[in-house]
Amino acid sequence: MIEISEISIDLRNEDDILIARQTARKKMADIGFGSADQTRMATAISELTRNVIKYAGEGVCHIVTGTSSSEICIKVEIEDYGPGIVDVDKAMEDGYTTGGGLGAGLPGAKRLVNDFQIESQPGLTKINLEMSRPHV
Amino acid sequence: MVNENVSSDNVENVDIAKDVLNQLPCMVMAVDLDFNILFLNNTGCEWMGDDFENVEGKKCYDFVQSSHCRTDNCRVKQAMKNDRKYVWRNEITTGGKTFPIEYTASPLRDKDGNIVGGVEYVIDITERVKIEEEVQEHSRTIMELSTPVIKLWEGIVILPLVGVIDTMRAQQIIENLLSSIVENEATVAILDVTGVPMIDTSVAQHILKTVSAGKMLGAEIIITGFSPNVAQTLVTLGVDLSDIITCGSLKDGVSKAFTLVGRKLV
Repeated sequence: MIEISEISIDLRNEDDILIARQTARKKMADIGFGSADQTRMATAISELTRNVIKYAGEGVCHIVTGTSSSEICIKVEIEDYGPGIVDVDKAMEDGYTTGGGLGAGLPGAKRLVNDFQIESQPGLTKINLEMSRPHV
Repeated sequence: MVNENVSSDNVENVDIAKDVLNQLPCMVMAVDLDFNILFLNNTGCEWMGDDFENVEGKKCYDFVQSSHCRTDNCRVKQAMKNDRKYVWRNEITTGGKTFPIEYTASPLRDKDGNIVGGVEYVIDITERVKIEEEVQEHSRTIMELSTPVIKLWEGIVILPLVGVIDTMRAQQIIENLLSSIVENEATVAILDVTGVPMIDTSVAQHILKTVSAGKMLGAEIIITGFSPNVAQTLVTLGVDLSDIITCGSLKDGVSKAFTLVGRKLV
Protein backbone atom coordinates (compact mmCIF):
# COMPACT_ATOMS: atom_id res chain seq x y z
CA MET A 1 0.00 0.00 0.00
CA ILE A 2 1.26 3.42 -0.89
CA GLU A 3 0.27 6.50 1.06
CA ILE A 4 0.92 9.90 -0.41
CA SER A 5 0.54 13.31 1.13
CA GLU A 6 0.95 16.56 -0.75
CA ILE A 7 1.18 20.16 0.36
CA SER A 8 1.95 23.44 -1.41
CA ILE A 9 3.50 26.46 0.21
CA ASP A 10 3.49 29.90 -1.35
CA LEU A 11 6.83 31.67 -1.19
CA ARG A 12 6.33 35.39 -0.80
CA ASN A 13 8.80 36.53 1.85
CA GLU A 14 11.51 35.26 4.19
CA ASP A 15 8.92 33.92 6.64
CA ASP A 16 7.72 31.47 4.01
CA ILE A 17 11.22 29.96 3.75
CA LEU A 18 10.76 29.02 7.36
CA ILE A 19 7.29 27.59 6.84
CA ALA A 20 8.49 25.53 3.86
CA ARG A 21 11.45 23.93 5.63
CA GLN A 22 9.57 23.37 8.87
CA THR A 23 6.72 21.73 7.00
CA ALA A 24 9.17 19.44 5.20
CA ARG A 25 10.85 18.56 8.47
CA LYS A 26 7.56 17.68 10.10
CA LYS A 27 6.33 15.66 7.12
CA MET A 28 9.60 13.74 7.07
CA ALA A 29 9.46 13.07 10.80
CA ASP A 30 5.88 11.81 10.39
CA ILE A 31 6.88 9.09 7.94
CA GLY A 32 10.06 8.07 9.74
CA PHE A 33 13.04 9.98 8.29
CA GLY A 34 15.84 10.45 10.81
CA SER A 35 16.82 13.85 12.14
CA ALA A 36 20.01 14.02 10.05
CA ASP A 37 18.01 13.51 6.85
CA GLN A 38 15.44 16.04 8.02
CA THR A 39 18.17 18.61 8.55
CA ARG A 40 19.70 17.87 5.14
CA MET A 41 16.45 18.26 3.27
CA ALA A 42 15.36 21.29 5.33
CA THR A 43 18.69 22.98 4.61
CA ALA A 44 18.43 22.24 0.88
CA ILE A 45 14.90 23.68 0.86
CA SER A 46 16.14 26.69 2.79
CA GLU A 47 18.86 27.36 0.20
CA LEU A 48 16.57 27.01 -2.79
CA THR A 49 13.57 28.89 -1.43
CA ARG A 50 15.89 31.69 -0.36
CA ASN A 51 17.04 31.91 -3.97
CA VAL A 52 13.41 32.19 -5.04
CA ILE A 53 12.77 35.09 -2.66
CA LYS A 54 16.07 36.75 -3.50
CA TYR A 55 16.10 36.45 -7.28
CA ALA A 56 12.52 35.84 -8.39
CA GLY A 57 10.54 37.50 -5.62
CA GLU A 58 7.92 34.77 -5.39
CA GLY A 59 7.28 31.13 -6.14
CA VAL A 60 5.77 27.91 -4.87
CA CYS A 61 7.16 24.94 -2.97
CA HIS A 62 5.34 21.61 -3.37
CA ILE A 63 6.16 18.92 -0.86
CA VAL A 64 5.07 15.34 -1.53
CA THR A 65 5.77 12.54 0.88
CA GLY A 66 5.07 8.90 0.22
CA THR A 67 5.22 5.65 2.15
CA SER A 68 5.14 2.17 0.72
CA SER A 69 5.89 -1.13 2.38
CA SER A 70 9.50 -0.98 1.21
CA GLU A 71 10.35 2.72 1.06
CA ILE A 72 9.75 6.16 2.48
CA CYS A 73 10.35 9.11 0.22
CA ILE A 74 10.00 12.86 -0.07
CA LYS A 75 9.84 14.85 -3.27
CA VAL A 76 10.07 18.60 -3.24
CA GLU A 77 9.41 20.79 -6.24
CA ILE A 78 10.32 24.45 -6.03
CA GLU A 79 9.24 26.69 -8.86
CA ASP A 80 9.34 30.39 -9.55
CA TYR A 81 8.38 32.67 -12.40
CA GLY A 82 11.35 35.00 -12.20
CA PRO A 83 14.04 35.86 -14.73
CA GLY A 84 15.53 32.35 -14.60
CA ILE A 85 19.14 31.25 -14.17
CA VAL A 86 21.22 32.45 -17.12
CA ASP A 87 23.90 29.75 -16.91
CA VAL A 88 22.69 26.71 -15.01
CA ASP A 89 26.02 24.83 -15.36
CA LYS A 90 27.88 27.77 -13.90
CA ALA A 91 25.34 28.21 -11.10
CA MET A 92 25.95 24.58 -10.13
CA GLU A 93 29.67 25.28 -9.63
CA ASP A 94 30.96 25.76 -6.11
CA GLY A 95 31.72 29.35 -5.27
CA TYR A 96 29.85 30.91 -8.17
CA THR A 97 27.43 33.64 -7.12
CA THR A 98 25.75 36.60 -8.73
CA GLY A 99 24.16 37.86 -5.55
CA GLY A 100 27.09 38.26 -3.16
CA GLY A 101 26.43 34.98 -1.34
CA LEU A 102 28.86 32.15 -0.65
CA GLY A 103 27.98 30.43 -3.91
CA ALA A 104 27.41 27.15 -2.11
CA GLY A 105 23.62 27.08 -2.17
CA LEU A 106 22.80 25.27 -5.41
CA PRO A 107 25.73 22.82 -5.56
CA GLY A 108 25.43 22.27 -1.80
CA ALA A 109 21.72 21.53 -2.02
CA LYS A 110 22.46 19.01 -4.77
CA ARG A 111 24.90 17.18 -2.51
CA LEU A 112 22.43 17.17 0.37
CA VAL A 113 19.77 15.14 -1.44
CA ASN A 114 19.65 11.87 -3.43
CA ASP A 115 18.27 13.30 -6.61
CA PHE A 116 18.39 16.85 -7.92
CA GLN A 117 16.90 18.11 -11.18
CA ILE A 118 16.97 21.68 -12.36
CA GLU A 119 15.48 23.36 -15.40
CA SER A 120 15.42 27.07 -15.91
CA GLN A 121 14.19 29.47 -18.52
CA PRO A 122 12.97 33.06 -18.24
CA GLY A 123 9.56 32.88 -16.59
CA LEU A 124 9.87 29.40 -15.12
CA THR A 125 12.56 27.84 -13.00
CA LYS A 126 11.83 24.40 -11.58
CA ILE A 127 13.96 22.44 -9.17
CA ASN A 128 13.12 18.92 -8.03
CA LEU A 129 14.63 17.35 -4.95
CA GLU A 130 14.20 13.79 -3.86
CA MET A 131 15.25 11.70 -0.93
CA SER A 132 14.26 8.13 -0.17
CA ARG A 133 15.15 5.57 2.46
CA PRO A 134 14.18 1.96 3.04
CA HIS A 135 11.07 1.61 5.15
CA VAL A 136 11.94 0.02 8.48
CA MET B 1 -37.63 8.78 -23.55
CA VAL B 2 -34.92 7.72 -21.21
CA ASN B 3 -32.48 10.09 -22.87
CA GLU B 4 -34.82 13.03 -22.45
CA ASN B 5 -35.11 12.34 -18.76
CA VAL B 6 -31.38 12.32 -18.35
CA SER B 7 -30.92 15.58 -20.18
CA SER B 8 -33.62 17.35 -18.21
CA ASP B 9 -31.96 16.12 -15.01
CA ASN B 10 -28.69 17.58 -16.20
CA VAL B 11 -30.25 20.96 -16.90
CA GLU B 12 -31.71 20.96 -13.42
CA ASN B 13 -28.29 20.10 -11.95
CA VAL B 14 -26.66 22.92 -13.83
CA ASP B 15 -29.27 25.34 -12.51
CA ILE B 16 -28.77 24.16 -8.96
CA ALA B 17 -24.99 24.43 -9.32
CA LYS B 18 -25.34 27.98 -10.66
CA ASP B 19 -27.67 28.85 -7.81
CA VAL B 20 -25.14 27.58 -5.27
CA LEU B 21 -22.29 29.50 -6.91
CA ASN B 22 -24.41 32.65 -6.87
CA GLN B 23 -25.04 32.31 -3.13
CA LEU B 24 -21.33 32.13 -2.26
CA PRO B 25 -19.88 35.18 -0.52
CA CYS B 26 -16.79 35.03 -2.76
CA MET B 27 -16.15 35.55 -6.42
CA VAL B 28 -16.25 32.61 -8.84
CA MET B 29 -15.29 33.28 -12.41
CA ALA B 30 -14.65 31.09 -15.43
CA VAL B 31 -12.73 32.28 -18.45
CA ASP B 32 -11.82 30.71 -21.78
CA LEU B 33 -8.25 30.30 -23.05
CA ASP B 34 -8.20 33.96 -24.15
CA PHE B 35 -9.48 35.26 -20.80
CA ASN B 36 -12.99 36.03 -22.06
CA ILE B 37 -15.44 35.73 -19.17
CA LEU B 38 -17.67 32.65 -19.50
CA PHE B 39 -19.25 32.80 -16.08
CA LEU B 40 -19.30 35.17 -13.13
CA ASN B 41 -21.30 34.63 -9.96
CA ASN B 42 -23.35 37.27 -8.12
CA THR B 43 -20.61 38.24 -5.68
CA GLY B 44 -18.26 38.77 -8.61
CA CYS B 45 -20.82 41.02 -10.27
CA GLU B 46 -21.25 42.94 -7.01
CA TRP B 47 -17.48 43.43 -6.67
CA MET B 48 -17.23 44.68 -10.23
CA GLY B 49 -20.39 46.76 -9.84
CA ASP B 50 -21.75 45.40 -13.11
CA ASP B 51 -24.28 42.90 -14.44
CA PHE B 52 -23.25 39.55 -15.84
CA GLU B 53 -24.80 40.46 -19.20
CA ASN B 54 -22.34 43.36 -19.46
CA VAL B 55 -19.22 41.38 -18.64
CA GLU B 56 -19.98 38.10 -20.43
CA GLY B 57 -17.57 37.43 -23.30
CA LYS B 58 -15.33 40.35 -22.34
CA LYS B 59 -11.74 40.16 -21.04
CA CYS B 60 -11.49 39.56 -17.29
CA TYR B 61 -8.61 42.02 -16.97
CA ASP B 62 -10.87 44.84 -18.17
CA PHE B 63 -12.93 44.44 -15.01
CA VAL B 64 -10.39 43.31 -12.41
CA GLN B 65 -6.86 44.68 -12.17
CA SER B 66 -3.92 43.20 -10.30
CA SER B 67 -0.16 42.96 -10.60
CA HIS B 68 -0.62 39.49 -12.16
CA CYS B 69 -3.05 40.54 -14.86
CA ARG B 70 -1.80 40.18 -18.44
CA THR B 71 1.53 38.71 -17.27
CA ASP B 72 2.94 35.18 -17.01
CA ASN B 73 2.37 35.47 -13.28
CA CYS B 74 -1.38 35.12 -13.75
CA ARG B 75 -2.17 31.91 -11.91
CA VAL B 76 -5.12 31.15 -14.18
CA LYS B 77 -2.73 31.28 -17.14
CA GLN B 78 -0.34 28.97 -15.30
CA ALA B 79 -3.17 26.65 -14.28
CA MET B 80 -4.19 26.31 -17.93
CA LYS B 81 -0.60 25.91 -19.09
CA ASN B 82 0.72 23.55 -16.42
CA ASP B 83 -2.55 21.72 -15.76
CA ARG B 84 -2.36 22.29 -12.03
CA LYS B 85 -4.23 24.05 -9.26
CA TYR B 86 -2.69 27.20 -7.85
CA VAL B 87 -3.54 29.13 -4.72
CA TRP B 88 -2.06 32.56 -4.40
CA ARG B 89 -2.47 35.91 -2.71
CA ASN B 90 -2.66 39.19 -4.45
CA GLU B 91 -4.26 42.60 -4.31
CA ILE B 92 -6.99 43.42 -6.79
CA THR B 93 -8.73 46.57 -7.87
CA THR B 94 -12.30 46.18 -9.03
CA GLY B 95 -15.41 48.34 -8.89
CA GLY B 96 -13.29 51.24 -7.61
CA LYS B 97 -11.99 49.34 -4.57
CA THR B 98 -8.60 47.77 -3.86
CA PHE B 99 -8.30 44.88 -1.40
CA PRO B 100 -6.15 41.81 -0.66
CA ILE B 101 -7.43 38.51 -1.98
CA GLU B 102 -6.54 34.86 -2.13
CA TYR B 103 -7.34 33.21 -5.42
CA THR B 104 -7.51 29.59 -6.40
CA ALA B 105 -7.05 28.93 -10.08
CA SER B 106 -7.65 25.60 -11.79
CA PRO B 107 -7.98 24.51 -15.37
CA LEU B 108 -11.48 24.28 -16.86
CA ARG B 109 -12.16 21.14 -18.93
CA ASP B 110 -14.72 20.09 -21.47
CA LYS B 111 -16.46 16.72 -21.45
CA ASP B 112 -13.46 15.03 -23.10
CA GLY B 113 -11.02 16.36 -20.54
CA ASN B 114 -9.39 18.98 -22.78
CA ILE B 115 -8.43 22.21 -21.08
CA VAL B 116 -10.69 24.91 -22.48
CA GLY B 117 -10.13 27.69 -19.97
CA GLY B 118 -9.67 28.43 -16.29
CA VAL B 119 -11.76 28.76 -13.15
CA GLU B 120 -10.95 31.27 -10.50
CA TYR B 121 -12.22 31.33 -6.95
CA VAL B 122 -11.46 34.56 -5.12
CA ILE B 123 -11.78 35.34 -1.39
CA ASP B 124 -11.51 38.79 0.17
CA ILE B 125 -8.85 38.41 2.89
CA THR B 126 -8.72 41.98 4.24
CA GLU B 127 -9.37 40.82 7.83
CA ARG B 128 -6.91 37.93 7.65
CA VAL B 129 -4.14 40.15 6.37
CA LYS B 130 -4.76 42.63 9.18
CA ILE B 131 -4.45 39.90 11.82
CA GLU B 132 -1.35 38.42 10.18
CA GLU B 133 0.35 41.79 10.15
CA GLU B 134 -0.29 42.11 13.88
CA VAL B 135 1.15 38.66 14.54
CA GLN B 136 4.18 39.42 12.41
CA GLU B 137 4.71 42.68 14.26
CA HIS B 138 4.67 40.75 17.54
CA SER B 139 7.12 38.13 16.37
CA ARG B 140 9.46 40.86 15.14
CA THR B 141 9.36 42.42 18.61
CA ILE B 142 10.20 39.10 20.21
CA MET B 143 13.10 38.61 17.79
CA GLU B 144 14.53 41.99 18.66
CA LEU B 145 14.32 41.23 22.33
CA SER B 146 16.11 37.95 22.03
CA THR B 147 19.66 38.97 21.16
CA PRO B 148 21.12 40.07 24.48
CA VAL B 149 24.88 40.22 24.82
CA ILE B 150 26.07 39.16 28.27
CA LYS B 151 29.33 40.15 29.85
CA LEU B 152 30.72 36.90 31.22
CA TRP B 153 34.05 38.09 32.63
CA GLU B 154 36.49 40.91 32.12
CA GLY B 155 37.21 40.84 28.41
CA ILE B 156 34.69 38.09 27.58
CA VAL B 157 31.21 38.62 26.18
CA ILE B 158 28.76 35.94 25.19
CA LEU B 159 25.79 36.03 22.85
CA PRO B 160 23.46 33.05 23.03
CA LEU B 161 21.43 32.80 19.81
CA VAL B 162 17.98 31.30 19.98
CA GLY B 163 15.61 30.70 17.14
CA VAL B 164 15.74 31.40 13.47
CA ILE B 165 18.25 33.79 12.01
CA ASP B 166 17.09 35.75 9.01
CA THR B 167 18.84 38.57 7.21
CA MET B 168 17.29 41.30 9.30
CA ARG B 169 18.05 39.62 12.56
CA ALA B 170 21.56 38.67 11.49
CA GLN B 171 22.33 42.32 10.89
CA GLN B 172 21.09 43.13 14.37
CA ILE B 173 23.17 40.36 15.89
CA ILE B 174 26.32 41.63 14.21
CA GLU B 175 25.68 45.18 15.39
CA ASN B 176 24.85 44.12 18.95
CA LEU B 177 27.88 41.92 19.27
CA LEU B 178 30.32 44.39 17.75
CA SER B 179 29.15 47.33 19.84
CA SER B 180 29.32 45.26 23.01
CA ILE B 181 32.85 44.13 22.12
CA VAL B 182 33.81 47.80 22.02
CA GLU B 183 31.83 48.75 25.13
CA ASN B 184 33.25 45.96 27.24
CA GLU B 185 36.72 46.11 25.72
CA ALA B 186 36.30 42.42 25.10
CA THR B 187 39.05 40.35 23.51
CA VAL B 188 36.93 37.24 23.23
CA ALA B 189 33.31 36.92 22.18
CA ILE B 190 31.38 33.67 22.27
CA LEU B 191 28.57 33.14 19.81
CA ASP B 192 26.50 30.20 20.98
CA VAL B 193 24.29 28.64 18.31
CA THR B 194 22.88 25.77 20.39
CA GLY B 195 19.39 27.27 20.05
CA VAL B 196 19.58 27.70 16.27
CA PRO B 197 17.76 24.78 14.66
CA MET B 198 19.23 25.10 11.19
CA ILE B 199 22.16 26.82 9.58
CA ASP B 200 22.15 27.30 5.84
CA THR B 201 24.70 29.12 3.70
CA SER B 202 23.14 32.52 4.25
CA VAL B 203 23.31 32.15 8.04
CA ALA B 204 26.85 30.76 7.72
CA GLN B 205 27.79 33.81 5.71
CA HIS B 206 26.46 36.08 8.46
CA ILE B 207 28.53 34.17 10.99
CA LEU B 208 31.65 34.53 8.83
CA LYS B 209 31.05 38.26 8.47
CA THR B 210 30.59 38.64 12.22
CA VAL B 211 33.86 36.82 12.86
CA SER B 212 35.89 38.97 10.48
CA ALA B 213 34.30 42.18 11.77
CA GLY B 214 35.08 41.05 15.32
CA LYS B 215 38.69 40.41 14.40
CA MET B 216 38.95 43.96 13.08
CA LEU B 217 37.94 45.16 16.52
CA GLY B 218 40.62 43.01 18.07
CA ALA B 219 38.39 40.27 19.41
CA GLU B 220 38.51 36.53 18.76
CA ILE B 221 35.10 35.07 18.19
CA ILE B 222 34.37 31.54 19.28
CA ILE B 223 31.36 29.74 17.88
CA THR B 224 29.90 27.07 20.11
CA GLY B 225 27.04 24.64 20.04
CA PHE B 226 26.91 23.31 16.48
CA SER B 227 24.76 20.20 16.60
CA PRO B 228 26.10 17.08 14.82
CA ASN B 229 23.38 17.39 12.17
CA VAL B 230 24.21 21.01 11.50
CA ALA B 231 27.95 20.28 11.33
CA GLN B 232 27.41 17.47 8.83
CA THR B 233 25.08 19.57 6.72
CA LEU B 234 27.48 22.52 6.63
CA VAL B 235 30.32 20.29 5.48
CA THR B 236 28.15 18.82 2.72
CA LEU B 237 27.14 22.30 1.66
CA GLY B 238 30.81 23.10 1.30
CA VAL B 239 30.88 25.92 3.82
CA ASP B 240 34.39 26.33 5.14
CA LEU B 241 34.50 27.38 8.78
CA SER B 242 38.02 26.07 9.40
CA ASP B 243 39.43 29.56 9.99
CA ILE B 244 37.05 30.01 12.86
CA ILE B 245 37.47 28.78 16.41
CA THR B 246 34.59 26.43 17.06
CA CYS B 247 33.83 24.37 20.13
CA GLY B 248 31.30 21.59 20.50
CA SER B 249 29.72 22.80 23.68
CA LEU B 250 29.32 26.15 25.37
CA LYS B 251 31.31 24.73 28.30
CA ASP B 252 34.34 24.07 26.10
CA GLY B 253 33.91 27.48 24.52
CA VAL B 254 33.95 29.23 27.88
CA SER B 255 37.06 27.39 29.00
CA LYS B 256 38.74 28.22 25.69
CA ALA B 257 37.79 31.87 26.15
CA PHE B 258 39.40 31.92 29.60
CA THR B 259 42.56 30.44 28.14
CA LEU B 260 42.59 33.13 25.48
CA VAL B 261 42.35 35.93 28.05
CA GLY B 262 45.09 34.27 30.10
CA ARG B 263 42.99 32.79 32.85
CA LYS B 264 42.38 29.22 33.75
CA LEU B 265 39.21 27.53 34.90
CA VAL B 266 39.91 25.63 38.10
